[in-house]
Amino acid sequence: MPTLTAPRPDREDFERAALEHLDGLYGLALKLTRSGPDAEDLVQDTMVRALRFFERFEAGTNLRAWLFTVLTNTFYNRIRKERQDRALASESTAGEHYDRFMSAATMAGRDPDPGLLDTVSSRQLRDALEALPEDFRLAVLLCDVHGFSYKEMAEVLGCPIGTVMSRLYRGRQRLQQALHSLGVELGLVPAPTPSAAETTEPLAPPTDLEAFRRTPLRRAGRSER
Amino acid sequence: MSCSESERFLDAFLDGELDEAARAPLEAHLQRCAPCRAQAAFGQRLRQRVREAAACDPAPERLRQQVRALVAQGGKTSVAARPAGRQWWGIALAAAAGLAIVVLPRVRPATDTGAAAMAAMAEQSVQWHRSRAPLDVQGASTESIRSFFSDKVPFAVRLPRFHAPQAQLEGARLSSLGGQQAAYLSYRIGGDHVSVFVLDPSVIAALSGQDPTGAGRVQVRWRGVRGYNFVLYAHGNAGYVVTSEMDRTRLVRLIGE
Repeated sequence: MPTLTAPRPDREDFERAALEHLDGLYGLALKLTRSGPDAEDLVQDTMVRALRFFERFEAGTNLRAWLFTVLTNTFYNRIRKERQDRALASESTAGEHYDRFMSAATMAGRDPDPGLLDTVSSRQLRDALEALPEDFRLAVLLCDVHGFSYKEMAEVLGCPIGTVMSRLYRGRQRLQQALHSLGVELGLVPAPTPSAAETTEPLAPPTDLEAFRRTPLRRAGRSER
Repeated sequence: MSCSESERFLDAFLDGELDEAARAPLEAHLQRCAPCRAQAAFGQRLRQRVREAAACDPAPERLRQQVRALVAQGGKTSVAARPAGRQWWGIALAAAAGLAIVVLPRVRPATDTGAAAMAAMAEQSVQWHRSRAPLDVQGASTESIRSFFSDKVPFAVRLPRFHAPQAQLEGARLSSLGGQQAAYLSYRIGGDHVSVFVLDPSVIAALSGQDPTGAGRVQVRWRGVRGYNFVLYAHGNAGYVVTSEMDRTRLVRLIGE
């Protein structure tokens, strides 16, 4: 009996997709590993895994997002292993300390200075980007560089959309803070005064997109007329 | 809509995640509110700059061929085709996470794979330097540096003697390299910043891909990694990695033989 579902992708489809998205995958790998040979190695490993699991791949699914998912998981598997080997303090703990430190020290730089963004070099911005913890870096890269939607990112990162938004928010906050520190160093913006730092509360990252999508409509109807 | 609501969902707006109905009140608010508008402009420009900054070269042709071969073989790896550098994987990651940790190889790498470790050291020192992170020991007192490290590292930290009268020691800091403690010394020499990592001598052998024979004798080796120059040598019971952006000849001459 003939089926009406899309034909299962075969090896040729895989090769076509893999080669089509190779630049993007390599670009992300390069930003994650920060080394050409390691990036090539990561992409190769990704392809090996993707080929192994390709049989389970369901026709009609987003092949590009799936390849990025495999790359992301391969990357996380590696760093997890590295960290177990080294018995490092967990990244999230380090991140929280950093957030607390940063929010106290430099949140005074929350007022955006558009001139600053045009003053820093791409190299400086790239350094700041590469200094982000990988959870945040990955979110920012997937969104801003690879143009994935929140929903696709949730799939790639294997987490809820709220978590995606929170990582994006925190990643960008840190970038902004890093740029601000750089601006202070370059003498472009004044250093935060202690009193300003004390009184500035860090913002809570937004996490509930659905709730937002529902609320403004009603609010708009009530209060803006 | 209030400013705090606008701020809360500005990211979703700029990332194109809001549908028409949700966008309208936010756009109306941005029309009216200059600070929020400035915030939005900044966010938009930040995304644009990130995109530009993260732009990179396409995947190398070699990788493209490897993927083709891999598909043809049905996913079986050929170990020989892998690039070197695997053992050093965690290094860049640790540095990227902002942790002052460099992974040292448990097994001595068979090939010349110290590059990533040294690049991470260079990046770490650049980052420390740029962020003006406070040093554990400030100033140029040899004695205070020696006594600071005496109970922290298992080797005597002797300060390198540079062939430059204007060399100025800014201070030192304890650095954790792959679970081993190392001393980081920060110098300024004629406008250039020079970083010195003092570490276990076995590390030098691993980094330069050489057998640690001939220890005790000062052997200076140069390596260039990602635009930074490195000079490696062992002296006494410690190993030294000196790195700077200054040119090779100057740096090597600085250390001497």
